Amino acid sequence: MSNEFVVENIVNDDDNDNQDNDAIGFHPLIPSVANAQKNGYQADHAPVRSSIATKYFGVVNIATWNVFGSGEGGFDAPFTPKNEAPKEALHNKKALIKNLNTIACNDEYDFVLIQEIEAFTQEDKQDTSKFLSVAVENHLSETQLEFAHEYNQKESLMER
Amino acid sequence: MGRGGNITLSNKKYSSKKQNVEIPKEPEAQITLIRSDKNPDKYLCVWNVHFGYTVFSDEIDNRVKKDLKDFEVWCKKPNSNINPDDVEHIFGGDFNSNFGALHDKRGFNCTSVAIHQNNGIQKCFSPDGFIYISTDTKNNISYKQIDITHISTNQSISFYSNILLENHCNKFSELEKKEAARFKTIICLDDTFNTKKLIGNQTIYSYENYLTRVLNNSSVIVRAARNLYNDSAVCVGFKLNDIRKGSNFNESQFLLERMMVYIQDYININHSDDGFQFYRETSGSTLDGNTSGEALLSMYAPKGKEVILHNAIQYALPIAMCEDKLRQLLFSNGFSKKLAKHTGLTELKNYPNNDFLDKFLNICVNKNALGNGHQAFFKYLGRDSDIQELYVLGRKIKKNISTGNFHSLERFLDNELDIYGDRTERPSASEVNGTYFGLK
Repeated sequence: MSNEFVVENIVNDDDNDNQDNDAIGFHPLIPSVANAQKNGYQADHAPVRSSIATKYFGVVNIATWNVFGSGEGGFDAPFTPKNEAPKEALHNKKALIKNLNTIACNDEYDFVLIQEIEAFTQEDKQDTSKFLSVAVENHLSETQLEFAHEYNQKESLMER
Repeated sequence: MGRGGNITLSNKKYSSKKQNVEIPKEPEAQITLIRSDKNPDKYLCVWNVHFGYTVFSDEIDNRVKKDLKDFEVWCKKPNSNINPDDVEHIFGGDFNSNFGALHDKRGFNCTSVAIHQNNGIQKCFSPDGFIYISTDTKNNISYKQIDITHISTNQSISFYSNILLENHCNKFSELEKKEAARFKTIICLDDTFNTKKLIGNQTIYSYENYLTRVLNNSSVIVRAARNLYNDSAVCVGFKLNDIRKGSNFNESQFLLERMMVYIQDYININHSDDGFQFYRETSGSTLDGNTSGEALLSMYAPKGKEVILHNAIQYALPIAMCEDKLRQLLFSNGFSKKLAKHTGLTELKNYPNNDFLDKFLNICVNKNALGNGHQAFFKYLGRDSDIQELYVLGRKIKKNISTGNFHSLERFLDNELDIYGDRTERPSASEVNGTYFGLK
């Protein structure tokens, strides 16, 4: 198992402003909330977990994480300064890998539910598959390894 | 926005126990069905869901119920060999800020709050969670306590004594504080909502049924609410039609709009400092992922003040309903010929500004309606016009009907228009020059 997986940084600078944010289109945000993620919080959704006492399966340990923004140039707009977007996206993916690997090593979870693990380029899609497989090979099996591969989400994301 | 990227990872110890499930479901839900080791006829169904943000949290309630119903239908198919009563369910995933803690301990029920620099405020976010449905009874749905995990270390973060979050929230600007204090409805599937009496000595569901019945309108929702400090509230909301459709004035919406006005009036006069919140919220996105123009007139009573909202509703009901009934009568076919003879009413109905009609109706049925707005209304119309007739009619209506008695209202209006049609003379000076509307 490797924790050394690195996501390539592929972002388009469409308007040549030397800021790799054009593929997504960030809202300008006040800086006072921009650093929260550095303290361990993902904007929008934090990963949460619970131990649920079931009748026939005993205690089920389950986690869920919407990793919105995990895609290249991830869209963690509320806490992401405009010029830090790629770094944050990379941070998210690394965190996800580390988190899943921790899960894999500890055999802690019965289920891990992930949403919005998005990829914005073909390479990104391959990368995402690759790092997910690290967790899958070690502990977890996927119900359906299928994730969004949406190049043209700019408008949708802006709605967020 | 289409939902994507759902991945359900299950422990490999379940690999040989997975059952194939092919039920028709929305694309944002994913199902993993596991057979029990010790009880081979028992199953655990894990739902990985991804719901869009909606101000209508009842839609998520209904959606979960529908998913369970669809599952039951699938179980009854010949090839499934699964009794739905033998299946436990866990729903987890992205509930998009529609979860709220069951307890009302004050804390930080949020993962973030942020404000757009340029134009307005971004929605606050609250944590996701899990719902468990036992095999004992499908009505027994419970929320599960959650821990937040650090995204890098996977360590549990004590949610309500969260120093990092507290530090973050303590630095809120005034605008952010206001946004953090803003109530929003939460998913109310937990079984406690079926028994806990939160308003009018009723559960939210029985109170919702009560309002639906008296208003004869299914657009009413009553739900529990929370803000980002985990302050609790009860929300009474009225759903309005989708404004995107460009539909004309919706008759059924008139009553709901007027209810909101009178409830707000009551509370603003007597309880303006009690922390009530009123919004006309527009859903940014619905469960189908589309941007929507649907609106929710929402009224939030903070904990301990629910009785005031109930009293405000009791105050507003007869006035708004009487006003609505009078409006219906004035526009009804049955009265059209008689109304055509009443020059004042005809003129009023034809006024482009609907607000004038509303004010007239208000004056007819609301004993407190003597505000400046109404004086301005009559002054604007002018006392020398046929609108003068309205003074007289409004005055008589007010004298002769009791709010809430719609039968007497209809009969009175019928008689009054008959008399008016037979009249050859205009109202006397004494009739017109009264002080009834606060005008000399």
